[in-house]
Amino acid sequence: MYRRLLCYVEAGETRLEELEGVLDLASQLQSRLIVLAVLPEESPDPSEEEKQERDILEDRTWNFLYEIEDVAFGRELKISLMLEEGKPEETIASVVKSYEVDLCATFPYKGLDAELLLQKLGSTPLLFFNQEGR
Amino acid sequence: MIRISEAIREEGIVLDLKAQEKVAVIKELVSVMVDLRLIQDEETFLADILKRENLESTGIGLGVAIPHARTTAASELLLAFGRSAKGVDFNSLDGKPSHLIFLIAAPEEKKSHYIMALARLSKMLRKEEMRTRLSKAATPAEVMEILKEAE
Repeated sequence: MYRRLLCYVEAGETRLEELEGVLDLASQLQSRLIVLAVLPEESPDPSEEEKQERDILEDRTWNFLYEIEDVAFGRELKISLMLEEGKPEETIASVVKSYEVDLCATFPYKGLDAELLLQKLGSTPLLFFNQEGR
Repeated sequence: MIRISEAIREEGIVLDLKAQEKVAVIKELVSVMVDLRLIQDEETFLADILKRENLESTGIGLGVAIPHARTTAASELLLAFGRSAKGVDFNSLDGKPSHLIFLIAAPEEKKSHYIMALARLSKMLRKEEMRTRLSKAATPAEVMEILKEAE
């Protein structure tokens, strides 16, 4: 029923241990887990400092995604990683639609507008996990 | 600091892959590493790569695939690169064939190096300019130069 489970994460805001609940869920549902991170769109004419900050953020995000992949592999979960650019709510909704995602999961991030996300997701269920991974 | 350009050799670069199917492409790149005596136990390495491949889509989209494994068959971080003009189906989420394929092997105990290499390579290959340059490189030496410049 839930063939594809999408989990939106923000590197630096979530610890690997907090993802246990999502990994358990993917395992129980035998879903393919798509782990998505979204970088803000690059400004048209970024300063050197902005470029460096973005570079660090992208490095950190890829590292986090591959850390998750490694843990998921240890559990023999089917997993795909995605790094996109844009606004999180719009990007999540777009990925959900494009890749026929059945269930969405994420964490209560400060920068994520839950109401807007629910609105954009339409009938796709959304689960929020807390810091205990529940 | 992990450097991609230090983990790959010119002889580990195949600009015109003969194989056209995922497993055959992986075998072709694995045999390149074996021929270079970088991998001692071909059977173990291949099994480790394919085990992961069965669970994950290592096709990261944008025409790129990064099959990878931590394995007892590797004693250091190793890379091979293959290019396919026709493209190979690596089950990418975007459904597009992969033209640029990087094979990564790392020792079991070098998890942080392995993660950093994957992250660094993924970041590099998200850049369109980088993909275009790698697609057009005429020689393995040119590929090496592109990788060094990107770092």
